[in-house]
Amino acid sequence: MKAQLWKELRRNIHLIIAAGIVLLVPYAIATVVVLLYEPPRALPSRPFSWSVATTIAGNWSLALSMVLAAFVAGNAMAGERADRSAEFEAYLPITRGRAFRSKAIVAIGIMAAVWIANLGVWLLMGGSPAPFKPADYFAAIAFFSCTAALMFGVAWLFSSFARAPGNAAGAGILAVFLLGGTLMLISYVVDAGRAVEEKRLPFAILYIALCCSGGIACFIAGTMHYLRRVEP
Amino acid sequence: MTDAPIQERAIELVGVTKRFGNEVAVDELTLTIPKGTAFGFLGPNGAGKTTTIKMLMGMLRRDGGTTYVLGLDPALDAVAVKARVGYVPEQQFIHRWMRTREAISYCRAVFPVWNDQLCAELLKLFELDENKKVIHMSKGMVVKLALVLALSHEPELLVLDEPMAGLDPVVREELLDGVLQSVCDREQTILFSSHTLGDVQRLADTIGIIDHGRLLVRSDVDTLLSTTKRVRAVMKDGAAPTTPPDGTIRQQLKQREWLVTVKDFTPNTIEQLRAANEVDLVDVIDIGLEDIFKDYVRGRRASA
Repeated sequence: MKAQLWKELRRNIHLIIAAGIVLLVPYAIATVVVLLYEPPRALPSRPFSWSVATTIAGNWSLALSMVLAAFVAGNAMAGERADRSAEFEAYLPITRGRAFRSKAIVAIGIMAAVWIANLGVWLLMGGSPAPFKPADYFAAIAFFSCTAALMFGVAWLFSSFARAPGNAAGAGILAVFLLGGTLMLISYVVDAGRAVEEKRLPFAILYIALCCSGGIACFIAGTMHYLRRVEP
Repeated sequence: MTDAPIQERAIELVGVTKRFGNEVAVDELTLTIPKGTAFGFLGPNGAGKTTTIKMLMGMLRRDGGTTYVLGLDPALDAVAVKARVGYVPEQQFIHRWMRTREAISYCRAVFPVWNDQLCAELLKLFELDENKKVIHMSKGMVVKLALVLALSHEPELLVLDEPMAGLDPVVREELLDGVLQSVCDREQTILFSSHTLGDVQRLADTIGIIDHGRLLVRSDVDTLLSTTKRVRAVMKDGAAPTTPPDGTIRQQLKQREWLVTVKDFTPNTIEQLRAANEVDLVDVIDIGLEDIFKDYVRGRRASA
């Protein structure tokens, strides 16, 4: 198992670097902005502090991590088919279950690292500073995490049979646009008479529920397909 | 040979069929390879050799029949089969970013048995640089590395699926030496698929010729060479061949010259040919493995 984990980490090195960029670049930019606009150059009406900067950077990083989720999952199985190293793996005495575990640990691990780091920074900086409300922050987290779950799940499913990781990642990203767009359209048609604020909540809840359940269902379906597949 | 007890059979295929859509790649193939033999698997491109080998390795689902490799069904125990079989395919897809030592260390971790001493000997024999990445290796070097990986876990069965295709004669020679050295030391069974009949003749003691997924012949090399002959008959003026002798594989008529390739040749073959046809002159020509192979394939296609 150790050998498979090492191989998966090494194979996904470009995505690990991308995860590092997704994680660090927003904070680096936030640091530059804070250094440039810290008092006395900051506007009195818009107090800019480290906690504000890191909250914005954290949200930015989590938003980027949604797309990263699609690429990480898309590369999990299809990546080996694209460079045909799956054919080399196919004649080694490795059970599909063991191969799946190593792929899932690395893919989920990359995403978990980005999320844990971002949430850790947020907690370290004392939570949501003014002018942000904790409820808005949690809503954003729920949106990002569920969207990432759907992108990851759909990309994982496509990766279980696709030959191109880009196509699998694209399917994950497309699924979110399709779901979000469809719900927006339905909300406009169904609740045309109501104010935007009123109708936002039920559809937001529906979006989150569909993203989570769809992502999990696709992940399970992709896993089952990969485990049952005989061909590389 | 086919009656050998199951524990003495390295490979046993009974009525194995594989279809890709409407196309039949392997057509009720029945073949037994006893342990300790070197079997040359011959066939033209698209004959079904690689498909058969992939089914043996548990890398492809069969549509019918039964398959046993070292007493195990690859469809049910693919991992156990792979642990006991060394496989070198035609094209190598070892992770390109791996260095030689990384590929070795990876395979050492996944195979239940690994002979470090043998691995070191083979690396030395093939002059492979342990620090070189696969992506920077020549085709010959990658095949050598694949052979090191296939042999170092001391497999009971070595399956070589045309790994020497496209390699220069020097590299082919080095690879054959490596295989022969390993086989002689360990009494391994070999299934060797190749288009290079010279390589097959050097390595194999038994051969099978396959075309369109069907086994045309299975015989040990010496018997095949000694009993397959080409009979050249010159027809009498105005006469045409009527009845080819028993065991005719292929026949060609060029004006009055009638060339008949016959299996299980005996002096009686000539008498039979003379008795049934109006011939002036009959010669018997010894033919090599390449001609035998071609005549089996072309004869089958002409009769199909």
